[in-house]
Amino acid sequence: MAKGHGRKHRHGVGKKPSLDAVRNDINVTPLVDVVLVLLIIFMVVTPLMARGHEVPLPRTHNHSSKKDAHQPVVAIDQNGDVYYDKEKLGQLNPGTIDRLRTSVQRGWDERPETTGMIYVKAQSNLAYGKIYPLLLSINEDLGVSSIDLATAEAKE
Amino acid sequence: MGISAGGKSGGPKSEINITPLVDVVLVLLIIFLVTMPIMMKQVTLEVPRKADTNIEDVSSLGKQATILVRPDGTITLSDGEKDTPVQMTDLAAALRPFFDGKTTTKMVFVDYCDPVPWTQVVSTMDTIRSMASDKDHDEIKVALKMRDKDSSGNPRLDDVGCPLPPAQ
Repeated sequence: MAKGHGRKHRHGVGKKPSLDAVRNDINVTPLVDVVLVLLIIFMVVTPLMARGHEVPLPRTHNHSSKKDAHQPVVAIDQNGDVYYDKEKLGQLNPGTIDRLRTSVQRGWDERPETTGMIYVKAQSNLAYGKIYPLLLSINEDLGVSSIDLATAEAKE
Repeated sequence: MGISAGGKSGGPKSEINITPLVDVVLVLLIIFLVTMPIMMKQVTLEVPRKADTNIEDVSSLGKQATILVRPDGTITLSDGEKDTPVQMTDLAAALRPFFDGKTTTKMVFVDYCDPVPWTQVVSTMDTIRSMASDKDHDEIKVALKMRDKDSSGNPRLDDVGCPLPPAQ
């Protein structure tokens, strides 16, 4: 009887830690919180990371997907305004070309491995007649002989 | 005491097992981290110097395909001697003879009338590049045909066969 009582008492003592004592499994809730917040931050920031002025791009199937070499990005929008990266330069004229040349040269100086590379983002519904002078000027004034034209993935 | 009865080892656990959730979320996070260096999708356009083009034309490249796309969607394919009208859908087939058995640089010169929308410009380049046999599509080069300039230095349209804009 005494033995049985003793066991019961010990049992009671043994039970106590499971209620009040330190739990020995890791509390992952803060980890999950942090990771989820990081995930959301990345999901939000990724589309904003696209370089250059944002314009609707023509869609293609047979493009090459290359890692961003951080070459200068030149964009031309609906109204024919030319942008260097996100900076608006305005309509294509000798003054704009001059500023574009300076900016692009600065970009190449900062990253010498991209010298001679340029990424042109042109709005998909713009007429060729508006873009040809820009391509011509990139060739003649900037001396670029191989222009990368930005495209988007064609939806199936 | 009564509550703890369910917590006995062997009894059903009342907590949600979040381990798979953490696994999935971490993997997603890693995927996003890896894809952060954005892949730039691009079609490379060669813009040859006029002088270079002429030299190459004569010496090494032989017959050179040149296409002109008009605003109504009709395409003229020229091999330097004669012009052939082509439909957009038949462009790849029409260009095929220029590439078959060619070991030097495969290059197509392109020109477009001014009102042709950019999306159509790029889509013809896309068609041309679709003929490349390797996956990288850089095997075939698309080159811009340089237009002659008029006396004031503006590119001329009349000699490429485009309908001229109405005179003001």
